[in-house]
Amino acid sequence: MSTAPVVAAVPERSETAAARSLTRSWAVACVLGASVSVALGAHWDIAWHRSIGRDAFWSPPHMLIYLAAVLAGGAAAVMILGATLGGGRAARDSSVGVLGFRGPLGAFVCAWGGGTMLVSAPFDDWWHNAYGLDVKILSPPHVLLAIGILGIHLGALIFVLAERNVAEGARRRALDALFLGIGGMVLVALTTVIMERTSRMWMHDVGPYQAVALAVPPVLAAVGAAAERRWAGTAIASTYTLFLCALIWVLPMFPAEPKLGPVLTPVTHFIPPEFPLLLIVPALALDGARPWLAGRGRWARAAAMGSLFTIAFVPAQWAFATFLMSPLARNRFFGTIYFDYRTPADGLYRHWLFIPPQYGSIVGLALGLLVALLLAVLTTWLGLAFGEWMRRVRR
Amino acid sequence: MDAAGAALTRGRLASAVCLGLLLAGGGAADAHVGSPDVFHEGVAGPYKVFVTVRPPEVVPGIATVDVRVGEGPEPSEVTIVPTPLVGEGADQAPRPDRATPDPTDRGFFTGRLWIMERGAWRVRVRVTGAAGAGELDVPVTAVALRTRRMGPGLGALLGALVLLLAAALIGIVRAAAGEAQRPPGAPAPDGERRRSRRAATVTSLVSLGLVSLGLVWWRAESSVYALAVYRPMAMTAALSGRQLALGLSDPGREPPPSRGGLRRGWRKLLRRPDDLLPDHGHLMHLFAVRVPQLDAILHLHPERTGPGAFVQTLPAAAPGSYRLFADVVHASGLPETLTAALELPPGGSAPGGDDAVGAAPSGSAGPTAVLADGTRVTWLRDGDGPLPLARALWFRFRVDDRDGRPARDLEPYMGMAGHAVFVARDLSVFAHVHPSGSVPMADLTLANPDAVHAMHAAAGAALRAEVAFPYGFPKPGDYRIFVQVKRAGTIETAAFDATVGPTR
Repeated sequence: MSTAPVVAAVPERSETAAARSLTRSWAVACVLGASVSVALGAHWDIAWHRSIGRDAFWSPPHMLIYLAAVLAGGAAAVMILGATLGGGRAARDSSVGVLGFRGPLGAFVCAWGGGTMLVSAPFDDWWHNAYGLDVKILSPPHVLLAIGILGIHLGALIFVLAERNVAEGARRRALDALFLGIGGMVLVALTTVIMERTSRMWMHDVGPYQAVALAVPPVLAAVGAAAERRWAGTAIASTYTLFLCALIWVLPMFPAEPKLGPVLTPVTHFIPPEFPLLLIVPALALDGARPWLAGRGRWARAAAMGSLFTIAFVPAQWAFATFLMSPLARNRFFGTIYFDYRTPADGLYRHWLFIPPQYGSIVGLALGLLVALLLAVLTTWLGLAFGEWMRRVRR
Repeated sequence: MDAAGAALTRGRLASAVCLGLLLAGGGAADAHVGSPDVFHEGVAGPYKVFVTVRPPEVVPGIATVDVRVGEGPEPSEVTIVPTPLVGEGADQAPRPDRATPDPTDRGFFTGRLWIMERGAWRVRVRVTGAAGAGELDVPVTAVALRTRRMGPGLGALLGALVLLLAAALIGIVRAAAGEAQRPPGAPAPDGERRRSRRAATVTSLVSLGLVSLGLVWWRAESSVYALAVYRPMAMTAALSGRQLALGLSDPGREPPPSRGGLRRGWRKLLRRPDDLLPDHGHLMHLFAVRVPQLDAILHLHPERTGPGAFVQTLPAAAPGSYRLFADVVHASGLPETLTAALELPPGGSAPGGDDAVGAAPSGSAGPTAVLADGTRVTWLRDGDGPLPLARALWFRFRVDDRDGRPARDLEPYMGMAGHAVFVARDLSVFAHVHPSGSVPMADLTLANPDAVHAMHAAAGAALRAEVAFPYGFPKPGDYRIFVQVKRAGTIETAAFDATVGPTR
């Protein structure tokens, strides 16, 4: 679809385009910064909790998370207020209306994410007073916070894509690359939410594969559908892998000491996350198969892609988990030598052993993995729908 | 997402310790009943130290610690650190925290400790100063005492904010389905309105579903936490003639353990009916108080006959309704006070061994108790108004003979210069306190065996005619204080009355 005739109808076309390009480049930098800073802040904070244990409102990782809210919220506010109060017809014409305000859609999603993060704060505070200072990731206020953080990522994604969709040439290619970078951060964010369920000690059970089927295929499908590069999924899976590997290699260089008891395992430095999931394998498979799937209906593609994802991912991760439990992985590269201060000395995890699986018989295993496959099909369909919509977003 | 979140607000967290909020229906809180705060006096090397610990009401939570270094060498620094009293992690302390010195009160330090699991803890107080360094270990019990319902104000605010977020989400999706797909400046194509409206409707339904799911999840989490709220073991009391049989059992309210130790704190075995530690040579210290007058008290030591089974031949005492308070300490270090009711018929003979029976006035008791053998026990208190709430106070008593001269024949009673029992008139508070404080001897032995021997030796050396107990009242109201000392082989019991005001 060509946009030329419509845009030509606006008299101050060139100035408008230039002004929009400049303002929005600045905003693109802000939302990209927010996306990276919240992903880094969240992982740093988890490492902080696993090594030092105790933190405060103004701890450095929290500052990074707040910085993300400030960057995304600030950029969103500037864009929304600018388009609502000033900006004239040109700004109105390149924006959408939400609750009486006008602005780019991505800005609204960023603002919504920041607002949700804010709402989670008093809820979380009350939660600690009512039930205790929690030590787990998955609690209702934390999930609200996670949804807020996801909002910031998605807002960044939509905003960058809307820019790409109306840009041309080098700018379009650059924005497409940035889009993939933010897609990688979305993958980092979603795998953080399921981190408790995907520890290597569970990897010979069906639980982690079902959790992954919920979180990962929609991102790969959406980004694959919206990006303009053939190996988009591989690119974001690589971003995710490198991001986590960098944490594994860098975090332990910094000293840290528990400030909470009981200390069940001595800790002298920051404890990094576990080695990333082998998402690169299904990503390669999906990107490779994309040309064959083009032109088919969404459900057909979802069924093929969801199945392919599961068939590629499960055996790879299952075998890789065996490797991670072996002495060969006990080094700084794979990072299975790191245990947080709450790791019981006599626990299975501490001794590189799998938790005995709960699926029962081989039939139970097959059924559990079938559930994972069906989930993957369903979430792939959602991801495809979202990705196809993202291709069309222009404001 | 995360533990990140864990944290957005943690720094602002006001201390969870608020004594007045103990749930009346909750009944008990650890070593005593309704009296979770720890008061303990001891020595840290060359320093005499008085420590007050107010455990958190939710676990994990924050305990507050007050340390007063008494007269003697001047302290320059006080550090505090918690470790489990026994078991895993007991030998590996995290980095200690420096307690903050009070700028106006030399020798007074305050600090906050994060207590991460239920159970018996040891707070190690280290004092450094002119005379070098010394350490004192104070046992502290941490159990969840309550969960809390959300107040209407915060509930309404959060509800309104969630509604606003939902409205904004619907607006965003409506725009996403329509206007956002239009090239800049283009007019609305046919069908855009309908598409937008349909997306908004679907989003409304999905938002409603998600919020409902969230509420269901919240309720489920809340009920799991409610299961972790502390309840003492159940105790049954059956009387056959003068023979009292007590049966201990766990009410079985433990939440189910989760796989992989994600809720380790709840997996830890804190107690069984048959894992009791001896305290002053007895597995159980049983107090029976006649209700409602609180005019008779029995201090007994039932014998164990089997797992969770105890028997006691009841001595002669005023017949009537009694409330039983049984102090026990589990191998994990968890101290508990178990309660039951008893109807005592007339009869029986004089108590023997460490057992004692004491009588007290049915009405109000004066500042001096004159006992049957002429012994006079006087409460040496400043003024006679209501006592302050939640503040560590010293309760000093002087024992005089029938001629009014300080008694010279006092002996240790079970290794102590005396025992004191603080009972609220409404029975919502019961605390058994020693001159060293509110910590059960079995826990002190676990924390600090040498210090306990020294304490006993000191008690046996030369007993003065004065005995003092540290304690702080957890809630306002009327209390009766029973004081027990031993004179020339006879256990004497005196009773006093105290009113505690609503202010600190």
